[in-house]
Amino acid sequence: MSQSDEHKRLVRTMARAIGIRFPGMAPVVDLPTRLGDAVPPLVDGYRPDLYGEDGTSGLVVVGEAETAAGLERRHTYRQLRAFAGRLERRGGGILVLAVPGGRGDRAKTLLRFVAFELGIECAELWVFDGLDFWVWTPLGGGAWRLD
Amino acid sequence: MGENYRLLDVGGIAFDTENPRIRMALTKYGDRLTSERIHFALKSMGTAATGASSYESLRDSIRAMGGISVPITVISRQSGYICIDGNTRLAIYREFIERGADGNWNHIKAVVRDDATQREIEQIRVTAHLVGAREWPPYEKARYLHYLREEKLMDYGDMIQLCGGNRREIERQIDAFHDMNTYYRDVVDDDTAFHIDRYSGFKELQRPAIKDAIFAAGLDLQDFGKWIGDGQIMRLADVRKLPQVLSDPDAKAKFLEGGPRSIEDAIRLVEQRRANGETETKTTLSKATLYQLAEVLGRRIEDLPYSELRALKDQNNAAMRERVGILESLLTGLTGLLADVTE
Repeated sequence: MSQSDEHKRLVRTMARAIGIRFPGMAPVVDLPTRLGDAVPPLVDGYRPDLYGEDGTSGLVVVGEAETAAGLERRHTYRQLRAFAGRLERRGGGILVLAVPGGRGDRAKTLLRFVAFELGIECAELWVFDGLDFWVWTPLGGGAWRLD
Repeated sequence: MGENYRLLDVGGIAFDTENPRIRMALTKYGDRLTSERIHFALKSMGTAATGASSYESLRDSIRAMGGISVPITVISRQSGYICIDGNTRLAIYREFIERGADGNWNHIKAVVRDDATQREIEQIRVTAHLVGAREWPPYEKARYLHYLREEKLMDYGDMIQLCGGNRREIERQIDAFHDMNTYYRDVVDDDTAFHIDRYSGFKELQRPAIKDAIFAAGLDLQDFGKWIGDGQIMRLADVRKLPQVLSDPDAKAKFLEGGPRSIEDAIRLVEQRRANGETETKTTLSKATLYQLAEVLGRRIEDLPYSELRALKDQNNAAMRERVGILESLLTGLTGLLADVTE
């Protein structure tokens, strides 16, 4: 499977999981099949793979899928920092980083660095490893718990 | 040690909690461990770098063949059987049972090792998982080597006979494991902040020039653990550049005072200085060496503006499609070269 196909698969899997986790949200994904298809809005200059907003509660979910190779790129870290920073300034929201099963720990490492660098307190940072959502909690120095 | 071949009830065989994937799942999920999560843990080990699932390939092969060709290996204990080689195959049989897959998956071919001593069990694990196609992750291999050497007091001759390689390589792995636990694992606030994928950074640390450079800069290995834990060194290959960074006062300051990935900015500074120092012999593209081009290309990729990345991704016109084609050709050539030189 090429990197591009792998990335699309991760985006679809993430979208399905978020749709189940947040029923009624109907997130938009960056997988346009026709000209004019809706795509997620830019968030601090970067376009995430998924964007969802709950009209009733106002909860915003920003999703980004990364392959194993994508996780190592500096650009990815800048994107994650931008998304997390935007949600933090907004006063809350969820950033989901979706990765292949074996890269869950790597994803948690990256988001932990983002959390410490930005002093995240309001935004929620989640990792989706293909099976479970893991949630970062800043309490007690920071830890990951199973959703 | 007696052994006999049997067809065993899948439900009567326990997973090996010494298997790192099983142990990882037990630690990670605690009392929320389910069979689905065990399967996921076993499956995920084959996806770490490449995205290809060896678990799925094995599962498809077993289903096509109607069963395993190589028996699993179990030991007999009072509580029942424990699988010491073949946990993934056992998990696949359990998955087939849960899903009601066609075929008889309730029984599995097994070699039963009666009265196996601890040494014999280690030998089976080592033979199966320290070398070859079913290798454990590097940190887990190192952990096991450390256990064999420090707790079982196995001598290097025996370890080399079992695992192959040489004494120096085994020592490096054991030392890397020790340093990783002492300067990283034992100092982070909680277990979830400790990630075994940082292991290769500690392996790089074992190169003589690296530790010397750290000490010469008036720093120590606690600092190294902090750089890894806090993400100042995020790409672990950058550990090799520590001597250059720490010997340049400005680069050293940039690195030590910066946040996550600060070593990359420090390396950039060192490379810029080097490039500026070579202005008398400025080179044209055609005269540049392969390695000069590779370094510059690497930096350009890192610094690629987001707008250009999107344009390449969207490939909305012929020029963009041509650029992606050029990069794909480069990748093919580079992959081939690296395959040739690393055989």
